Amino acid sequence: MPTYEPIATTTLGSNTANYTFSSIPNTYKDLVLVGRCEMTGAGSTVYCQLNGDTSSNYYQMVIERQWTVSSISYIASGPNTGFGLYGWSNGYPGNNYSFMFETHFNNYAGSTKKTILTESAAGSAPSTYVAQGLYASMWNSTAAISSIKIYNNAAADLFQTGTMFTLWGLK
Amino acid sequence: MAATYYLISNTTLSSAQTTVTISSIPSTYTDLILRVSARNNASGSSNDNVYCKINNDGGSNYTVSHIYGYTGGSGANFQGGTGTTTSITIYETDTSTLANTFAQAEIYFWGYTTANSKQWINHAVAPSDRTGTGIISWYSGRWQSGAVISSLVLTPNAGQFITGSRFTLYGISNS
Repeated sequence: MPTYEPIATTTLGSNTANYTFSSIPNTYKDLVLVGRCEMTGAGSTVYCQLNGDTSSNYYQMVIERQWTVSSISYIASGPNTGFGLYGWSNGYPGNNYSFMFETHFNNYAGSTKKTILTESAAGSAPSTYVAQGLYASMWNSTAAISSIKIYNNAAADLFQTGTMFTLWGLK
Repeated sequence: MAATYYLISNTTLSSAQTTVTISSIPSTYTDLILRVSARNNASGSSNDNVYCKINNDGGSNYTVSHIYGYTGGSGANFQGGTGTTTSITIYETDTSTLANTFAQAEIYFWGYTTANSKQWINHAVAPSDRTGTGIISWYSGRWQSGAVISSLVLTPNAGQFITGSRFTLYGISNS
């Protein structure tokens, strides 16, 4: 029995500041959000908010390596107003870059506080700059996740046309 | 993608247990993914480890490379690259961590039916609000055996997995 089911997918038809998956059914065990993004600018940090919660209810631990930095960093932050999916804002090589991420929402419809795990990777063409990170996030709420908003912290930096987001449900 | 992930087994605990065994894994897939959502009824950061043994092999047959960070620590940490261990390690929350949270982990096993050593990679997190213990972990490694993976045995370092802990195994087909 196949267990990954696409709940919704979108390919942006124009440059967009944010995108929201809403009315997420509570019939799966877990959710997986996949994104393949290109940005109009540089220096972005891309975040998520859940159920429209804009309060300081998000915590995060990150292991990442950025661009030409030779060492791996560990960063803990929070409480924040969202959790990051990608955040290589320092030392970026230019504005011609893209990134992808895969985010797992564990037991998203349950009554426990929500644990979220993201893998991200980024590259800048035509140079050889790359970066990667593992993001562990916690939403300090016991509510079932019914909507996911993806947005950028830099208002002038938009998700470009062709950016794709897909939300999967795991049975 | 939708046609290639299959549910092999799902165990959600209805009572506390010290060991969870997933057995009789069919050899009909290309790869395996084990997803774990676990919490422990013991306390103390040393109780956050969960050990996964392939085919219940407790010998020093697992090579690992590990990157991790934890609350209260400074910078990323590294472990392994040489030597062996006796299991694959993931993490769980416990009574010393934030209440009402479960850790999350995923182990990806490549080519689990091949005659070669089996490679795996795992990601795990025990979440934190920065006032209690938390860890983020990124492992890779190899099980030094040519045997087909037919079972996985998961055991906490101490205490028991609590009710609601979940262990889900998926099979992935490349065709």
